[in-house]
Formats: sequence, C-alpha cells, structure tokens
Amino acid sequence: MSFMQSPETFEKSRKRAASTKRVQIIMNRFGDTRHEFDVTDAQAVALAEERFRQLTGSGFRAAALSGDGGPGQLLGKFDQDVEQTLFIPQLQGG
Amino acid sequence: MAVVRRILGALQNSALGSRRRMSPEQRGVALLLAHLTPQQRRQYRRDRHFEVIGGQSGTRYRLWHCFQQNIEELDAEGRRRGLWCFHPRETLVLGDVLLAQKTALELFEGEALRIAHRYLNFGANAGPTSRIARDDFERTVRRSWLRRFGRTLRSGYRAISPQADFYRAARVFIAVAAFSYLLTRVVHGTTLFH
Repeated sequence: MSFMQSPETFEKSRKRAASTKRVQIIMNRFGDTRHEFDVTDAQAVALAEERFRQLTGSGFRAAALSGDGGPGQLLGKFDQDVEQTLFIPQLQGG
Repeated sequence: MAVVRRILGALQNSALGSRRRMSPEQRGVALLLAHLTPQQRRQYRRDRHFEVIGGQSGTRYRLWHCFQQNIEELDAEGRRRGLWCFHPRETLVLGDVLLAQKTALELFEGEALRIAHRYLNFGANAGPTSRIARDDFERTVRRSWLRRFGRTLRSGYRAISPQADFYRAARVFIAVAAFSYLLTRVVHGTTLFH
C-alpha cells in the first residue's frame, strides 16, 4: 500500500508543468466546470485569482492536484504555478 | 509520420468530443478516475471501491461507489472498524463526491472526520452492496469505459482510413478470425461440436 506521495513528488509534478496552461476545476451538479487560463496572459491570471478568492470565500476548499493520483496539496492562496486546482464545496456530515 | 500525427489528432478530438457527449455522472467518474493512482483505479473498476490513506493519522479507508455511509475505516488486518459519512453540501454527482472524500481524507482528514457521522453497519437498502449502488456502477463506470474504448478504436481506424466503413471492416475481421479459428481446429483434427 503505497498511496502516499512524498512532498518531493508533488514538487516534481509542479516543475514538470512546462506548459503555460493552467486549469481550475470546480465541482458542480453537472460534473465539473473547467476554467483554463494561460500564465503568460496577465488578465487571465487576474481573473483566475479573483475566481479563486470568490470560491474560497464562499466555502470551497482549493486543492492542487498532483497529476499522478497521489495526495495533492491544500491551497490557502492563489498559486499560478499549480497546473490543476480542484475546488471542493463545503463538506457536511451525512 | 503523417499517419501517426493523424491518429494522435483524431484520438485527441475524440477525447474532447466524448467529454462533451458524456452525462454529468460519467464526467464525474472520468474526473475521479483521472485523479486516482493506477492501483486505486484498478481496484475501483474491479471491486467498486478503492483505498485511501488518511493524511494525518495514516489510517486506511475504503471508499465505496455509493452515496451514503460509504467510507469504511479499516484496521491493520483490513477489518472494518466503523463507517463514516460526509459529503459536499452541494448536490454533486457520485464521482465528484468520491473525489471530494478522497481529497478531504488525504489533505484535511481531522476536519473531515470532525463533521462526519459515524455508523457501525451499512444501511439495509442504501449501502454499497445495495442493488441501486451496483446498477449505478454498471451504468456509469463499466459501460462508459467500454464506450470510450469503442470510440477510441473507431476514431483511430477512421484516422488511418477515412473513407472506409469501420463496422464493415469489423465484421470482415470477425468473420476472418472465426474462419481461421475453425480452420485451425479442422486441420488439427479437434472435435468442434459434441
């Protein structure tokens, strides 16, 4: 059972993101909504940061996905180097 | 090289197109599968559940394809210690719920368990062994995987030979394979029918 991912693996997956494309994945009842942006486009980055702030402000948790299925990293603030950011709605007991 | 490029392009278009054609449930499952380790993916497709290690305690959890009471906490021998139930407040498709639970257990386990409800046994009609859960799995996971495989085959074939009819070629291939199988049996003198 080696599902755990070391912090180094996560760092490697971040550095591997040679592409300038980033995606924000927001879970919703339609499956998910994806917002892609390019880090070289300052306006798109500002929009993505604003979206990040709005979503986390309304209770969503943001997580940087690792790409290989391992544990990612919880994001407290917007990071444009993260290739895929997943937004999870607030949780409740069932 | 041109053929390889055409095949890759067709596969990419097929992947984008199939995502648009997918139902929300299938999109949720596709998102989940894309963010599982190969081992978890195999386990999920085979057994309708996958295992996750809690990020803070190192505890093993088994997440079942089911909406309610679907998180089993396991001991070192793999026996059930109890059940947990928590899910996103918004109504989400099951694939998303499972990915949210996996991410929560890996990244903020303590907080997730604080709000979760604990149970001892699966509910009679709503647990992962219920017919509803099994049917949902067959519909969203198994079938969607087979459909995607079929679509990939078709688009790959069309990239090689755009004018040809895929279904006709598939029928000819099956007929030739069946004929060669029968011929092999006759040549080796094996009894075909008892």
